Amino acid sequence: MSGSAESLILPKALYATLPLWPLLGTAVTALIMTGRSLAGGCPTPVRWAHLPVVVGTAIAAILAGVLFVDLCPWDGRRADVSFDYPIYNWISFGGVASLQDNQWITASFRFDGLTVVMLLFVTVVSLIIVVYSIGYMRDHHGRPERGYERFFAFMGLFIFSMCVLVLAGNFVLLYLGWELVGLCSYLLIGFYYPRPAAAAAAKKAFIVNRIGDFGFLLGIFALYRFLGGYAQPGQNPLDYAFVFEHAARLEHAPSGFLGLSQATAVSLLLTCGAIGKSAQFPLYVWLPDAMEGPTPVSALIHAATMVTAGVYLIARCTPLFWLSSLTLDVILTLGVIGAVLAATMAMAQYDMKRILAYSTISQLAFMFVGLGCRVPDSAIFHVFTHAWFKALLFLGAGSVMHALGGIIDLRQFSGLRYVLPRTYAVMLVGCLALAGCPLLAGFWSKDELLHAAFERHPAVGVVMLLTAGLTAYYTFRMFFLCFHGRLRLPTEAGLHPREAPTVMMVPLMLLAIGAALSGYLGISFGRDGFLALFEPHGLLHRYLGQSTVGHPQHGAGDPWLMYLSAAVSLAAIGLVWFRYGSAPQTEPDQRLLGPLWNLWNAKYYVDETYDRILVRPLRSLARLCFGTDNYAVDGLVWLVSAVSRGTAFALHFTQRGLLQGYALGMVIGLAALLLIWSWLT
Amino acid sequence: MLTSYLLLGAILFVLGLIGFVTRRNLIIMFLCTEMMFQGIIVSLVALGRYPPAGRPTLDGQVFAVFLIAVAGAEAALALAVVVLLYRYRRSLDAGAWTALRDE
Repeated sequence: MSGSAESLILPKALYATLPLWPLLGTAVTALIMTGRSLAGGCPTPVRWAHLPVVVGTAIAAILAGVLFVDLCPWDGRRADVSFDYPIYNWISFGGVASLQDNQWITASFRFDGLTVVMLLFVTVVSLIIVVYSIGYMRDHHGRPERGYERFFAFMGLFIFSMCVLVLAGNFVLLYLGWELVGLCSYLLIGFYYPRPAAAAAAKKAFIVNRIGDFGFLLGIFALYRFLGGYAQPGQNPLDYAFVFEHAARLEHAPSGFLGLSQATAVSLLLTCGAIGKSAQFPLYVWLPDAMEGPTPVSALIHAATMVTAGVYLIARCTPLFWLSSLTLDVILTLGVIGAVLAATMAMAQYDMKRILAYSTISQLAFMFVGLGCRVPDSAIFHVFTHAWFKALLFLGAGSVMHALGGIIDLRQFSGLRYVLPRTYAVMLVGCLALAGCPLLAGFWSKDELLHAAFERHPAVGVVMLLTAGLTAYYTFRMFFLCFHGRLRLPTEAGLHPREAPTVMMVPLMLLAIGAALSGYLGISFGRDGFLALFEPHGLLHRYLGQSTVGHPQHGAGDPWLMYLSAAVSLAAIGLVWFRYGSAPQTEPDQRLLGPLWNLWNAKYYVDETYDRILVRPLRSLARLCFGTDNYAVDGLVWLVSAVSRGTAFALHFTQRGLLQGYALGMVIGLAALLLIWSWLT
Repeated sequence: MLTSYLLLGAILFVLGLIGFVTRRNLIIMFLCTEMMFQGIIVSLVALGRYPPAGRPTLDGQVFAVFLIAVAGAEAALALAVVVLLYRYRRSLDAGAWTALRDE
């Protein structure tokens, strides 16, 4: 907590500017490069609209990289150097005696291990994806798509928001970032807003997230309610430091709701927010629809960064969540359900991006299982590796889409390895990493989570192991259907689909490197030999040790589990090669599994069920309210205006413009007043 | 005594009122307003001289002086307006000016 400023490479104030650079890029793009309208007809450089955002994100990424080195917990070299950076007093509440005595919500940033790990991949993956978008958001002639500058402005805004989210030093600023990323997600899912599906998906994402955010907000209120009384003047009762210092007070205090302890109540409410943002059961339904947005958006927001915010929240609040085993069990249960549901749904889809979306839900559920098993450091490790390979997979799918003229349905093409060899190669790396193939990123992090699951309960472990096998299966089903078999192309692709341009290919390769190697940040070599690899004491874990995540206890571990999970994923890949290796036109699994496969293909009818039991009754209620407003309330207002209009119409005949008439009116009025007066007295 | 004076004032006022409402010649109408003024002045003076309670005071006569001054000023203005109106329409008929109406 106490860092010495001398030991940092760059001044703290400079680190605190990190989120502002992408925002600056957004401002420049939005204010200057918005087409011809603002500049009054002179040609403005829409073609260069990406530049401010790319530069801003690059500066942020460089700062994050330096910060990562700066806070690095070298062995024995440095104590914990995490620090708080208060920016200004933001919201005052409580007394008004003096500024010092007030309770202030400070806009403050917190730099510690968790923040830095999150920042590192958020900014670097963002930078890579923004660069990729330069190529993706253009047509085959290199002309920018309509809304090119809007896209980059929103992307910059998103990167800013995400940085604020992970840097926030208290719950209110966290909530601000949380809502900002939700807004950006909405804006970018609805990027192609003339398409009804995109507009509907944007609304769906926003509304479903609102449900979770409502719980999150209530959780923050509850925290203030329960802990506000302990704050000294000048302390902020919603600061992380304060909350986690006093969290133990909540463990046994009754919340007055269903007999839950205060810690359970608060953590359950915060979990609501987390499952909304991280698309967990039962609020996951928005994520597959969110694939209506441009592919880089799916890669950045709906796979690599924003959806991990829920995992981040729970990991950040580890001291609070660990006080309530009930909440952890809820998280674990939701995680297991979500992992299995999403993995099975992904088995029977045809839209590449949707398969990847379900896989994202499933992987996030893996992280939730880790959180529920009290290993938040492993969950964050999986967040870290997942960001690389999932971004890679999405961008690879985007590359396919780009080459095929927007077609992403696996039934319409196959054998693309002949025309897109380089995309094929990077996608292979990504798929292997997701499938948990040994030595790639996903293997190491998923193994830790499996390990923790087995320690928690063998049944949970077995289910997660099988889900990992399913992951490998559906990933390579998609891969083989897309790239293997006979070359088939949709008509939209033209005769010669072209490989992605360099500006898209280089980011893909960088992400492939990350997907292959990022796992090695979380493991350690040498000391105990190869068999100890899965024992989490890598750099990343030591990093997370200097944050609220702390040093969770990991079991001694069983090396056979590592071999077993490797065997399961390799066996699943082998099986799917046997069944789908030649990209068959008819679905072999459908014949084998029959109604079960159809149930998966229909996504368990969850959307339909929600529609039936929630959406339609609500819509009827809305219609009722609308009718009441439209007829009853508006009718009343109309009546009032009609009465005065009628009276005016009746009286306008008396206005003939004749002086004598007006005088007579006055006389009659005077006489009437006098009469009334005399009658009253 | 008071009743007779108030009756006289009331008669003057009502005569002026009737004249104002019935006649259409601008000057006659103007004179009628003057007559209404006189009715009020008579009432004021009478009420000052024979108050319903207490000793007689000069208040009513003071008001009367003020009213005469106001009426004189008003007469100057109103006659000027009448002359202007006459120049526009070459008529003293109030019916020539009916712009103030709802069409």
